[in-house]
Amino acid sequence: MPHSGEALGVDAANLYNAGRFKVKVLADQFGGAATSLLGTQAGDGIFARDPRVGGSLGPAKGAFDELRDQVVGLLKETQQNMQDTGDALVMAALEYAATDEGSRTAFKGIRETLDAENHVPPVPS
Amino acid sequence: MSWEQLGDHAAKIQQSAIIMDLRQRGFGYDKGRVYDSSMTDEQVQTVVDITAGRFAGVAAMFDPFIKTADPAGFDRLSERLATEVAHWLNAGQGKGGTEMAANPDLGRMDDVKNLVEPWFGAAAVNFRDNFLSKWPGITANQFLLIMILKGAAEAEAGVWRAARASIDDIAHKAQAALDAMLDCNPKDLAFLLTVAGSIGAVGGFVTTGGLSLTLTVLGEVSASAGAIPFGDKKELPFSGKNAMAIVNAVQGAITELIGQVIAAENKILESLNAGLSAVAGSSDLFIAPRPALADATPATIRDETAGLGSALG
Repeated sequence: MPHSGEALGVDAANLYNAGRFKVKVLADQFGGAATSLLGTQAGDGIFARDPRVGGSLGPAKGAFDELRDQVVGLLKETQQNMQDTGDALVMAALEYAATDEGSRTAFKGIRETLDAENHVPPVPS
Repeated sequence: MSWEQLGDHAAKIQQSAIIMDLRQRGFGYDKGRVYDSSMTDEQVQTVVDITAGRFAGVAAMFDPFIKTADPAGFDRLSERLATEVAHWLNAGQGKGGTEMAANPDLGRMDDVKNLVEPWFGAAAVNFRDNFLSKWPGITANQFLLIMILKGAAEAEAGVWRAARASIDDIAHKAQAALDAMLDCNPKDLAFLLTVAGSIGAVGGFVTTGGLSLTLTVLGEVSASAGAIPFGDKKELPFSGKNAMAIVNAVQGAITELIGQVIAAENKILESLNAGLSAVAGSSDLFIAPRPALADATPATIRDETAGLGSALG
């Protein structure tokens, strides 16, 4: 039997919690990791040496850069997928919460608690 | 003597080789002046010039190591890769090298499984089966790739730290041998090259999902408990009987040292290339398919076939 009323409001709040405070938090962390990894490019001068010792930047520099770029791409794609999924979960929560008065009321109460617990301003209704 | 002073010491070794060669051949030396009572100053100068010519390239032999890659820079890179990148994907599987705190937030994805459990629309099922269920393994594999990068940085630091110590050892012992060359029992010494034993494979990392390639995380042996070195320290004995023998031994040791650095860096290259091959050949082990849910719209989100459908239970 499909949920409705208060039960659906709780389900919607769970989607909101999953999207806003789980998936999107991790998406931000993966995005931060990707940005930090990209930021390590600034240190490439550390490979420089006399060219008689394996070339001016050594044999490993090219593969290091290539793998770093690959990992940046993986992290960014993961971040984007999670960000969009998190947004979709929040959107779904708001859609389902608007089903009826019971779901709307239950969702509103739980959402306010979740927002307060996570120290973030609530999304606009 | 330290690596930073290598240029000065290389020049001193060249000067010592010239002087000790002349003294061994019977010339006197005092306060910068070479003399021989049976020769005119002009004749002595000619001999000095010829001798200086024979040793003209000695200081330059050290040139390949006057400018080296920067071990401290690689230490900083390794530290950044650990704390600013790998940490976020570390569920507690990081071993060896820099100790790194696990990211407790990764557990939030387990919470998500529970929070979406009542939903059975196609997008919900797709999210559970194609994304959430693969999440731990794929995150672990992404973490492993970052650790390969971190290990490469740590290994580069190890290689160049050992290279600087080894060239310092060569310079120090060459100078000591020259200084003692005219003793009754000139020293027989050995240069100690430590690059080959400075890096190794760090155990404890496993890819998830049946990757056919073996991925190896490297590390600096002195910094990574349990690291298995690729080689051993190498001693190169040499005779201190005359200046040319010492100089030739220095040249041989420097050539050997260059070879050790290149061989060690090729091990680092192999580790990085294995990571690249793994991503190219098995990308599904390193990235989850984009969930259908990610592209849902307000018009589709409640749909049974394209959205979350109904919550049941």
